[in-house]
Amino acid sequence: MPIDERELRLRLAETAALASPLRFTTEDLAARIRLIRRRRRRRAGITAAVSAVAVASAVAIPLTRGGTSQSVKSAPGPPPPRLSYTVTANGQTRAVSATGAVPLFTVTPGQRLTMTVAVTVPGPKAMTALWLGITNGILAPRRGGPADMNPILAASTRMPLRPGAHRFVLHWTVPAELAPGSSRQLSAEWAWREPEPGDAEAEVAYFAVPLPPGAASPAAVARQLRTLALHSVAICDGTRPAWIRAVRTTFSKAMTAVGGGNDLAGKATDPVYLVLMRGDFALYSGGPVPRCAQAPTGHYFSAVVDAATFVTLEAGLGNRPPPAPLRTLGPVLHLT
Amino acid sequence: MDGWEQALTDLARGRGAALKRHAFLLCGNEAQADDLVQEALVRAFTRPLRVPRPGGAEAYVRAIVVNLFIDGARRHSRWSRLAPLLQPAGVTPDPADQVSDRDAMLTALRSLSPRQRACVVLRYYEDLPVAEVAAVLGVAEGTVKRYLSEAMSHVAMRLSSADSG
Repeated sequence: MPIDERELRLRLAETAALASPLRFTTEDLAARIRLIRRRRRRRAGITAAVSAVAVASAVAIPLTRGGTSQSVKSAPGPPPPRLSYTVTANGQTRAVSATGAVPLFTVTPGQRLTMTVAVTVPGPKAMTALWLGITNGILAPRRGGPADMNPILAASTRMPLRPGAHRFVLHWTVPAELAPGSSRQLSAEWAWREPEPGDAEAEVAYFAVPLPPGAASPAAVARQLRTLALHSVAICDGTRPAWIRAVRTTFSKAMTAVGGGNDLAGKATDPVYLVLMRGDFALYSGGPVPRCAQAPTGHYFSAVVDAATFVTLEAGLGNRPPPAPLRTLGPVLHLT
Repeated sequence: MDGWEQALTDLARGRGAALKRHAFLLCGNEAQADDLVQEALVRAFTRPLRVPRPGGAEAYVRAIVVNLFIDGARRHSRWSRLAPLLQPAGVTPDPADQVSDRDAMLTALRSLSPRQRACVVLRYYEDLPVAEVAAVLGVAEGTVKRYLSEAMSHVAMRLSSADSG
């Protein structure tokens, strides 16, 4: 017996009404998303900072840990240990004044680094464990040891670290395959038992391979930006974009021009390229290429790209061009 | 509050119940529907998106829910083959499932394949044209029509036997 479509719609609506309200709160969901976004932002920020700071390939920095600028993740526990350290490479040892910010070192693939890390446990409680090792953009503190360090350069787990200073000498060879524009971090994870068992992890230094000088030539920049733009979206109608344009500006001006928020603190004056492309696009977020009807689509794709590393910091898709024309920001590059 | 948080709050508070109903029809299970909606929202909002049109975010999240459901059903079918071997004796069924089972429509939907179910929900609950259903599922329009035809006869048979029983 065939079923009437109207009856089917009615019964579907009645059945759907059996569903109870959502059992999770928007606040919990927002907190989860915030955490994921923060991790992604930090990865982008780290890489974007690679070439922005011109430092010698072998420097040494004493660093005071603590304060809100550090990415400490955990339940409340004792204050983070104060870590001071020096890095020696190629026979040179340098000291840098403590700023509270995580220092950045440019390195070369295959370079062997020797780092002397002095850890000060503030007390009065002892730290039950400490690990120092190399991470790749993700911090995942876990009781029983770091899951995200590779390699672990030093571990102190047998005896509690008493209040006071402790020194570790670390050796690490920068991976030969580390590509220009990418980075690794020296991170510390520590654990305690009192007042409540807990653990935390923080990055203490960035090591990044700079882009080669040739990457900054106008032709190379144009080529790089065009490739980036075309790889950021799925092209829905199969035809080439009508045009691709870019302008060099600062992060805050670019974000203002595209009407987006500025949630990368401390990057306001960083040089970026604002890339704008006209066509028929669907958003592509790194996974499988989306089917155009499934993803947000639009005719204007905009991307804010770090000028030093060509890391895409923000991207957006819409049916209208950004409120501020590109020419108001500077000379426009035509990349089509 | 950031722009995305406001958009998330608006969507979850304003359209959360509708998204849940959509997911519930697909999977027929309260807890799974919650998981589907939550996961879809996470996937939609973890990237800095500017959705180009009003309602675009909701449509995007619905499409993610459908795809998560179909992918999950595929994984579940592999698990189901092993589950009888692993499940301890004397497991009590979920009371919520028993309540749901009383609903003939839900039972009829459960008897369909995940893709057939998605087609029915998108076409007759969401009122999407066949072309859009095909686009969401990534199949040809003819395939959607075939799924719908098979599903309709299957549902009709189930409902008529339930009504007569």
